[in-house]
Parts: sequence; structure tokens; C-alpha cells
Amino acid sequence: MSSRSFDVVVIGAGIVGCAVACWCARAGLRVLVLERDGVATGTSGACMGHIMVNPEPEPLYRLTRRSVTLWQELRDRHPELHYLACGALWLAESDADLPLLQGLDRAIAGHGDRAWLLDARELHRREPALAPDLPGAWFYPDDAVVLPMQACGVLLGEAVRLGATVCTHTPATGVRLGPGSRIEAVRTPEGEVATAHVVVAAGVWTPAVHRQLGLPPVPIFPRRGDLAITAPFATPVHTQLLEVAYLRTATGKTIDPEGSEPDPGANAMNVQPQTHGTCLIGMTRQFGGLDRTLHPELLQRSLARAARFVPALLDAPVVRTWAGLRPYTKDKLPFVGPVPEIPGLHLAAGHEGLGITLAPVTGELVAQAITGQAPSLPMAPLGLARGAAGARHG
Amino acid sequence: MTRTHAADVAVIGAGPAGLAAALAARQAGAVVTILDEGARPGGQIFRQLPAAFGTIGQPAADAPSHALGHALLHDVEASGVPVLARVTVFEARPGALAYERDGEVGVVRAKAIVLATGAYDRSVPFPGWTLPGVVTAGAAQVMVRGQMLRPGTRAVVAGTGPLLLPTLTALQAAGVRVVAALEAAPRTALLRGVGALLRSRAKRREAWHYARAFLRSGLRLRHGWTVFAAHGADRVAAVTIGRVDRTGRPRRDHEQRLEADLVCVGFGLEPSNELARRLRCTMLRGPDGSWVPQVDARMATSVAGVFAAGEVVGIGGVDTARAEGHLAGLAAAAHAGWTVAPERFAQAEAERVRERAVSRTLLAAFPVLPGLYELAAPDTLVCRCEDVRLREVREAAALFGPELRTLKMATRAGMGPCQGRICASILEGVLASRLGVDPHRHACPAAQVPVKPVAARCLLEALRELG
Ligand SMILES: Cc1cc2nc3c(=O)[nH]c(=O)nc-3n(C[C@H](O)[C@H](O)[C@H](O)COP(=O)(O)OP(=O)(O)OC[C@H]3O[C@@H](n4cnc5c(N)ncnc54)[C@H](O)[C@@H]3O)c2cc1C
Ligand SMILES: Cc1cc2nc3c(=O)[nH]c(=O)nc-3n(C[C@H](O)[C@H](O)[C@H](O)COP(=O)(O)OP(=O)(O)OC[C@H]3O[C@@H](n4cnc5c(N)ncnc54)[C@H](O)[C@@H]3O)c2cc1C
Repeated sequence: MSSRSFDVVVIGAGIVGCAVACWCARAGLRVLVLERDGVATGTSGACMGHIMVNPEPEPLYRLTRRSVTLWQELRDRHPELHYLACGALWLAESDADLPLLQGLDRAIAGHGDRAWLLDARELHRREPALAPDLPGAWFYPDDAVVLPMQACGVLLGEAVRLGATVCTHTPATGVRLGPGSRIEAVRTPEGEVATAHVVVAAGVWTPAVHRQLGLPPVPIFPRRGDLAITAPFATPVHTQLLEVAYLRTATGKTIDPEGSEPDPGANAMNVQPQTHGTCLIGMTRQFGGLDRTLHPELLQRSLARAARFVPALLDAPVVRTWAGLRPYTKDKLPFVGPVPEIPGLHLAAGHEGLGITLAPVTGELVAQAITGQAPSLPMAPLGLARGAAGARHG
Repeated sequence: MTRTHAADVAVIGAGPAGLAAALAARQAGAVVTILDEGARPGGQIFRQLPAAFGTIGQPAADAPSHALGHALLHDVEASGVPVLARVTVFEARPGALAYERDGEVGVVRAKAIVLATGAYDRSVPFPGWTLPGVVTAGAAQVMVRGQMLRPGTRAVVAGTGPLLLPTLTALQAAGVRVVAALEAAPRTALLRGVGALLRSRAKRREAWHYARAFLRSGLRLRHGWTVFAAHGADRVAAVTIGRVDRTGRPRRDHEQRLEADLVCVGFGLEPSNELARRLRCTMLRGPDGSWVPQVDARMATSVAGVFAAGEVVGIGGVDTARAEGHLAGLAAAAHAGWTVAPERFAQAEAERVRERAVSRTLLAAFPVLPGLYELAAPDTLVCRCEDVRLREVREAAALFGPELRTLKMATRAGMGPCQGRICASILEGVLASRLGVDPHRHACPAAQVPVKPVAARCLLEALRELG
């Protein structure tokens, strides 16, 4: 921190903070990234790397689609980025799931985008390792897989080469506000840093950071996910796989993260081939605070579920398991953009299970807001105000 | 179907520590089960031939420690304690553990667990260290003593510490011609080491045994020398050796090139601590910088019902391992509700303290020389599982700071099947020697289930059984 004055201070060096730093540095801003721990030691170091277009709802489609395009540009710019352009298969388990596939196809066609419905024969020709009784799938070709931590490195690396400064093991401990509650400086244990803009990109720790810094409350709730990774082996699958029934659980009975009843947890099949032959097996979801301890029972269920769709996975050697915390919001959209009560304060947090996907578009939108450019997408659905209203009503 | 065993005491590891623990616990009355990855009990030092080789007989139990080992093995056999061999324990919780054997899962429920998981060779990377024909001292001994194989014909043996001598003796007995025997530490370390050895009768005898064999061999141990590089297209054909200063830093003024088809390297041992980390035992840095579970005067770790003994609580050699195992076995039996007379405890505790003191001096005489980590060249591999080179680690450290976890994330070093067993100390070593990063700033890495790779079906089954 040789300089004591920056245009932007980013709090948090997860994938979102790294992307914000990258786009701000590209915009010519002098950027400082403060990370209380190491780079990608939070959720971005404990997740999967599906770059995923969500066909619905509309705002999420637009965000994810724009971000996938930005990822493709990153891939072209950084040959070192491990980018597996494998597409995604949404799998039906039985005929009862087929209408869900058709719904996805209609939604994507409505956006003028392209995808394919595969029948059982086409599906097994594409992925012979799948269980023989699966009746069909929906294939979206533009989805991809990155190694999230490596991707953090690529984004932050570009920012640093453009002049950004990164201070690890340096938490933000306070902010100094000037007239009109305008941001003037950020405090750290090493002293104060003058800046006009602060971007809070602290994932599940964003509410705590806001509390500590005396900033408005942010309704983000940690939602744990348990994972297993295999050693490289003759990868039995080549495409990102997920079961379409996951949509049903996602839209079904929602659990109130603030409710008094403990969340029993849910799981669905998610199998992710990676560039170097390993395979990630997910996915579970459970609210349970900031505890990152693995839930053996849920992990066990998700391994069994994966084997239901890809029987050969049972023989894959598992080298490690762990858990990460998704930054969940009640309407499943992140908070991105300025916080009007505090001029100079911006949020970039609450991306739940899509933070890797959405990091580039988040970086782009935040940099546009700071430099006063028109946003590439509508910002209203991402403002804190709608979150606060949601929190009051439900 | 999952096999389930119940015991008062489960002992993981059938080396001297584990065998002594099992015997002591059994003698106190406890129902004991021993588990070990090897085909036969014995651990590193009392390595037995696989049973299938039985007709040819066992390798000569020449060294005094080997005689002791065979006595221990015999006593365990006579005691009727079951030894589950060829099982890999991949998960442990207080009170229960899960193992894999030939793709099948077993569960042992026990009131007390003794971790006697031993140690493995520490690797120091140098150009060519991953070529076929470069083996660790441990692997060479496995080949010679455990499988009766001759690993090469012309060998350069390099490393540091008292284990070089048995390695040399084993190679020579197998008919390997040793063209150079290189001890990286200066001669003064040897003198200090001898001082420690003289304080223990057993070690004195052991040292004398190997020293005599070594002297008879006509070989000369070159102090302050080590291997700089191994050369060859698809396997070792030649070796560059050279002098190092007192800190192990290579001096490039005396390099020599030798023809050899085998390089044996032994730069000390590292404790197999993954089960201790998995059980969330409080971990401390030992005198050689490696992570070991904290134990009290009776070998109890910070986790109730979990005990540890032998190399896993600090590299110390066979006598310390046996003394600690004995004490841990008594303590584990007592934890499981069996009565152990206070005199027995007092005697075992005193012996353990005595042996550990000797080991500590010996360990201190042959520290991990930090300068040895300067042997690696920019394109030398530092993580074999994930093919990460020194250059990549340096670049990542320059960008993100020299933090182990972050480097792991940026370069994938430590993410492969070994889960850092080999490369964690290498990374610490190169960060310290190349970038001046104090190794003590790194926290002890967490271990998750499975502590060793296991088929998904086994993991699934174990999680279902253990909840
Ligand atoms: C199991 C699992 C699977 C997932 N799979 C996918 C997937 O396939 N595709 C996808 O797109 N997304 C996926 N996600 C979601 C994605 O991982 C997250 O949305 C994303 O990582 C969030 O990134 P972040 O930068 O907001 O948070 P984080 O990565 O958590 O970064 C926040 C950082 O802020 C730091 N911090 C906190 N307080 C302070 C302070 N006071 N000062 C300085 N720094 C501070 C923290 O140390 C941390 O490093 C998955 C998540 C999980 C858990
Ligand atoms: C190459 C080499 C040469 C040596 N030569 C000598 C010598 O000449 N003189 C001397 O005094 N000392 C020597 N030693 C040191 C001596 O081997 C040790 O001091 C002694 O064996 C330590 O006993 P231990 O019981 O602690 O561990 P070990 O003998 O190492 O036994 C540990 C056992 O635990 C098992 N194990 C570990 N993890 C698991 C798991 N997850 N599941 C199942 N089983 C597991 C291993 O298979 C192993 O059999 C040598 C060591 C090595 C490596």
C-alpha cells in the first residue's frame, strides 16, 4: 500500500472482488483490493465452476447470458484460463420430467437463443456413461466450466498488471464518511486509505462487514453446499451435468433462512468434468449459519444421486471433500450497484450459486456505475432497495 | 455389506509403536484390533516379505532393532490380537473409523483409538528428481527388504540423518554398487548425533551395527555434499553432485558428474499426520518444523479417546516408537475402562521421557537444511500430482502473496491425490529459501474425509455407516 489514495477500494478478493478489480482497472481507475485472508479463501475457493446461463427468470437470463459472453472474451484474452467449453446437459430422470425440459426450451427460444432437446438415443450417443434408462435431456451449448480459483487468479492478475494493488491479510475495519455521508476513506489495521468509492464484495460476510462498518443492513444468508472431487481418471462424462428436477426444488417450497425451523437440506445431481480430468460432484443446499463443516449425510445423498445418473462414478477415486457457503438472497438475484444513502458505496454480493458465472457482468456493472457510464443491463432489479423491501415483507 | 468390528482399542499402524500399543492394551485386558496398510505387520522397519514369498524365508534380521521387531511381532501373534492387514483407514472420528480393503468398506467402533501411523520420506526437489531411477530411501528399503528386488546397479545415495546408513547397508546387501554416499550436513552434525546415540544403549548398539557394516564396505561418507541433479532421457543415466554450505545451500564450485542408474535420496522423515488432522487434534510444530499432534504425558491428544505414538508425534526412531506405543496402549486401555497399575504407568512414562529426549537431540543434530531448497531450478516440478513447476509458484507468489492456501488455489499445487503429503513441505521450503517467507506463518492444513483417495462407493458407504 505504498500509495495512500485510490479511486476504488474493493473489500474481498473472492471471484466477485477479483472481477470488480479487473473491470475497474480496465476503466483506468486506481484500485486497491483488501482481503482479510488470502485470495479466494472464501466461497470462491470452495465451489464448482459452472458458467451457466439460466433460461428463467428474465433478469437472470439477461445477467447470465451477458456474463457468459464476457467469460468467452476472457478466454480469448487469457489463453492460460482453464475454460472447458463443454455445454450443459439438463437431465430428465423419467418421463415425468420431460415437460420441464420443454419449458426450458421454450424459455430459451423466447430469448432468441439456441439449444437442443435430446431424446434418449441422442443423449446416450453424446454421453455413453449415463444410466441407460434416462429418457432425454436439454442441451445448452454455451455453458462452460472454469476452475474457480484459477479464474480468480486470472482476473486479479489482469487487474494487477493494469496497476491494481492487492493487500491480503488486511481486513477493512471501518469507513470514514464526509458531508452527505459520502465515502472518504477506508480504515485498515495498517492505517487509513483515502478513496471516493468502496465496493463491498465480501460474499456471505457482507452483512457482517456492513455491521462492522456501520453501513445499511444487507439481507444475505449463508447457504452451505457440500462437495467431493475425484482424482483424474478416464473421465466418464464430458459435459456439465445437472438434473432438471433441480428446477422443481428451486421453485418449490422455499425455506425461510431467518425462520426458526432448522433446514433439513436438499440435494440434486450435479456432476462437473474439469479441464484436467478430475470431476466435481455436488450439490447440496442447507441454511445453517457460517459454519463450513461438511454435512456427511447430505454429501452421502448427493454421491448416491450422482451415481443414479452416472453409475461409473461409483468407482472414481475421491480425493477430497469440503463445504462452501453460498451467499443467498431471498429473490435469488445479487445486490449490485450503488447504495444511494451512502454516496460512493457500492455492493457486489449475494450471488448464491451463480457467483462464478456472474462475476464478470458484476465487474462490468460496478465499473460502469463508478465511471458514470450507462449500464449494459438494467440495474433496478439488483438494487439494495428491493432487498430491503423484501426483507420487510417476508 | 459393511463389516463392523467392535473393540476397546483400535490401533492404526502396525509398526513398532502400534505393535507395542496393542500388546500393552491387550495385557491390560482390553479387546484390541490393529489395522495397517501393509501386506504384513511390521511397519517401516520390521518389514516382512509378503506371505506369498513365505517359502523363501524372511530377510535376515541382522540389525539389533530387527531382532526386537521380530520379538514384538511374535508377541503380538501369540497374544491373539487380530491384525487387519492391507486396509487403508480413510476416515476417523472419536469412537469410530472406516477402512477400505479391496474395494470393500469396514468400520471399527472402539472406545479408544491409537494413532501409530508412522512417517514417510521427506522429498527435496532438484532437477531430474522425478526421473525413473530416483527413489526415496524408504522406497529403496521397501524394494530390498520388503520385496527382495534390486532397484539398480550403480547408486548415488544422498540425504541427511542417521537413516542413510541402513539404506546404504541394505543396498550393498542387495548387490548394488554405491558410487557415492553423500551426507548434506557438516561433520559437526554427525558428532552431535553420535553424542545423542551414546546416551541410549539400544541406539548405541544399532549405530555400532551399521557403522561396522559401513566401515567394512570401504565406502566413504562425504559430508557437506549432496545430489544437485539427475540426468537422463527416460531414466537416470548420470548424476551431478556437489558441495553445500552449512545451511545446505549449493556451492557451484565443486560439481562432479558420475554415471549411475539409481539415486536414493533420504532427507529425513515427515510424520503421517493426516488422521490426527482429520480428528481435529491440536497440532504443533515439532523441532523439525513438521506438524504433529500435541500429546500429554500419557500420549493422549487433545481429542478425548484419541492417543498417538511413534513417528507421528515426532520423528524419533524405533526405540522411542516402541516406548511411546507401550505407554499409549496402557493409556488407551485405561480410557476404555481397564485398570492399569500406577507403577506401570510411572515406569512407562519414565522410559518414554528418556527415549524421546534422545530422539529430540538426534533430530536436532540433523535439521532440515533450508538451503537445500535452492537446488530446484525454475522448471523443476514442486508438485508431482498436478505438474506444478517452481516458476509457477514464484509467479503466483509475486501476484497474490506467499500464502500456501492461495498458492495452492492459484497453481493447484497440493490439490492432487497426495493432498500435500509430499509437496506441502516442499512449498514451505521453497517459499522460505527463495522468498524469505517464515515457514511458521503457515497454518496447519485441514484434512477432510477421505484422508487417502478411495472409490466413491466406499466413501458413500462409510458416510452412511458413520452418519
Ligand atoms: C458448493 C458450491 C458450488 C457452487 N457452484 C457454482 C457454480 O458451479 N457456478 C457458479 O457460478 N457459482 C457457484 N457457486 C457460487 C459461487 O461460489 C459464489 O457465488 C461465489 O464464489 C461468491 O463469490 P464472492 O466473491 O461473492 O464471495 P467469496 O469468494 O466468499 O469472497 C468474499 C471475500 O471477502 C473476504 N472478506 C470478508 N470480510 C472482509 C473484510 N472485513 N475485509 C476484507 N475482506 C473481507 C473474505 O475473506 C472472502 O475472501 C457455488 C457455491 C458453492 C458453495
Ligand atoms: C527408510 C527407513 C529406514 C529406517 N531405518 C531405521 C533404522 O535402521 N533404525 C531405526 O531405529 N529406525 C529406522 N527407521 C525409522 C523407523 O522405521 C521408525 O522409527 C519406526 O518404524 C517408527 O515406528 P512407527 O510405529 O512410529 O511407524 P511405522 O513403522 O512407520 O509404522 C506405521 C504404520 O502405519 C501404517 N499406516 C499409516 N497410515 C495408515 C492408514 N491411514 N491406514 C492404515 N495403516 C496406516 C503404515 O502402513 C505403517 O505400517 C527407518 C525409517 C525409514 C522410513
